[in-house]
Amino acid sequence: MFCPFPTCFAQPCGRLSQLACPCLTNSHEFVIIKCHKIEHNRGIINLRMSSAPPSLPDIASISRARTQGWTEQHIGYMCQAIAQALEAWACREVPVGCVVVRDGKVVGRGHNLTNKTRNGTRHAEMIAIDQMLAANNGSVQEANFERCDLYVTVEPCIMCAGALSLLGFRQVYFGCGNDRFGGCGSILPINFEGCGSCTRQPIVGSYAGRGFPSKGGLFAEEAVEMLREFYAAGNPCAPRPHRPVPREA
Amino acid sequence: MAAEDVVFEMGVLVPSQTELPLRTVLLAVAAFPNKVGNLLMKALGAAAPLPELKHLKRVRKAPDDGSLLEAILCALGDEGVSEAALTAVTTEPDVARMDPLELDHLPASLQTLYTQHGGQRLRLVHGAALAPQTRQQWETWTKLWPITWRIPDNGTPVLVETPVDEYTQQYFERHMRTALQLAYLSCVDNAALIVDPDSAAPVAKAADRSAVHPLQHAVMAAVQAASERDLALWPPGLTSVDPYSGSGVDAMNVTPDANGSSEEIGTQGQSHGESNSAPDELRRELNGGDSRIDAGTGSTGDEDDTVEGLACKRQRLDTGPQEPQASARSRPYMCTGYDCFVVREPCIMCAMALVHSRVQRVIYCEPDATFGALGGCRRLHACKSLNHSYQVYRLGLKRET
Repeated sequence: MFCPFPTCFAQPCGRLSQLACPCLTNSHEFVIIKCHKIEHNRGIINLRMSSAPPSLPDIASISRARTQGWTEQHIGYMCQAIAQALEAWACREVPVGCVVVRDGKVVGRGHNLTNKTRNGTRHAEMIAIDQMLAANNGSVQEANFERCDLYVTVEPCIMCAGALSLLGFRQVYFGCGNDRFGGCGSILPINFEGCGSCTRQPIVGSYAGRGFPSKGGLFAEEAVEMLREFYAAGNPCAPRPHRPVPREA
Repeated sequence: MAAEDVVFEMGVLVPSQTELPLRTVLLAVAAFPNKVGNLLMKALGAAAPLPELKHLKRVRKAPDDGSLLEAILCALGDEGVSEAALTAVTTEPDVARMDPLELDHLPASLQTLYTQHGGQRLRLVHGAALAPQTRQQWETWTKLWPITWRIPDNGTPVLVETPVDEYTQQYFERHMRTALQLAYLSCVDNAALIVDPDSAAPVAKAADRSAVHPLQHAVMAAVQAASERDLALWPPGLTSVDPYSGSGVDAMNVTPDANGSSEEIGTQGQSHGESNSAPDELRRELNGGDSRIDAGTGSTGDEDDTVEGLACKRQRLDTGPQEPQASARSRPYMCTGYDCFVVREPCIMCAMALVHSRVQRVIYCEPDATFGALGGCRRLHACKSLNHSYQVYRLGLKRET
């Protein structure tokens, strides 16, 4: 009935049982195994699953990061961010993860949750920030974002860069750039220009027009690879693929 | 000021682009005899292609001498907005004016090309550095050096603030009044309202909460409220919309005819919620409050779900110019097709949150020249790389005198 392949996430779909599952063919030597065609009310989605789910950076990429001048702390924290992204992958969210570090301690972590919450603004950074606020009873002063560094696998989007500017983050490290809506230089330099408030009333613990230093390139290849694998399958919750997903012969 | 007493100005579309100023580039131009025309074009294409200046014609007939051609040899750097060029545009092109150029300023390959083809009158000429956006621009700019007119890829852009029609104005005013009222009652100066334009019913609303949470600006709070409503109406696991929940099968079993006929007329069957009556009722309750426009267009809640009626409606919606594709019946993908009314112009964070939520239109009241991201200071909706874009309108307040 169901696809027997272990990494096939398509199992819960009832419609799949009515289709012949192409995974039964023994072409397992390919990285991308096969194309599951699942029809549902919004059209046709093609699901393609990698036979090897992404993993933490290996020794080679860690030593490459060292030669690029990243310290052990940077590498360690970014690995934790990647672990968050892997969790996102496991629950079929866009694989982006982050950790927030204050005084050498990880005080917040998060990964993208846009599909589960059905809210396009629940990015990893926003989840981590909300987690920190919750841990400090909602007090911005106690959360002390001015002393916090953020490690995130993908360049913060324009919205998240705005949020980081409002809260006055001390430093941002990211993996790969984001050439569609990156807010730390790729599309807009929010890390220089900062973001303001939408209200004229003064807000405690919120900055206006404050920038933050940001630096990218730590484990960029790994972050890109995860995104590529994820989008090769097509975001399962997007209404219909914006670009045609290549079909296999 | 209470929201009932507010008088609005006419709503205007805030253009995503402003008019480009003329930038000119210095061109090295030489005259050649007519008869070498073809050879010359080939040689120039090989020796010095101008990929950045494709809009410029490479060769023109010399305006003063019918037996000569004038050709661009190469560009000599961007001049910026040059005073000289601007006066040249306003006055008649002065052919007699010569800005002679020494041959040894050119690259070697062009020097040989110049002598081989019998070049003469080597001089400098200003040309437009960028392709014109509109026909009017083309008419002025082409006087500098001829330009091939080509409609830009995304059509001729709107460059000036355009007023909306009467019907849209009423719709805008009604909901903006609600947003103002909400802000007034919550004792803050900003509030946001997300509205389904099909049924003209509010989907979610929120006042600014940044006193409680530094990131809960009005728009962020409203987007969150919309997602919570979505989860309440179509709970995970129960719905047919989640491709992994498996009830797509149910939808097909329960209403096979509906699926069949909607496919016939070429609309993808969007019959979510039919399989599940409880959320539908909840939805009806939510939409019930505001149904003045419903009768004509969107609402399918209270009527018989005859398949024909549904199909006709959807067809009409699809052909309408402004209507979003999703019918009122289907579950939205986040805020796709909805309108967002917000009292103050959103900051860059909120503006981007609306891009992520895929709203169709954003309407604001008070521009913000310091941090506004939709025309006040920055213009996020002009950003071409984003995966979604929306239209932006400003519905100003008339100041009491």
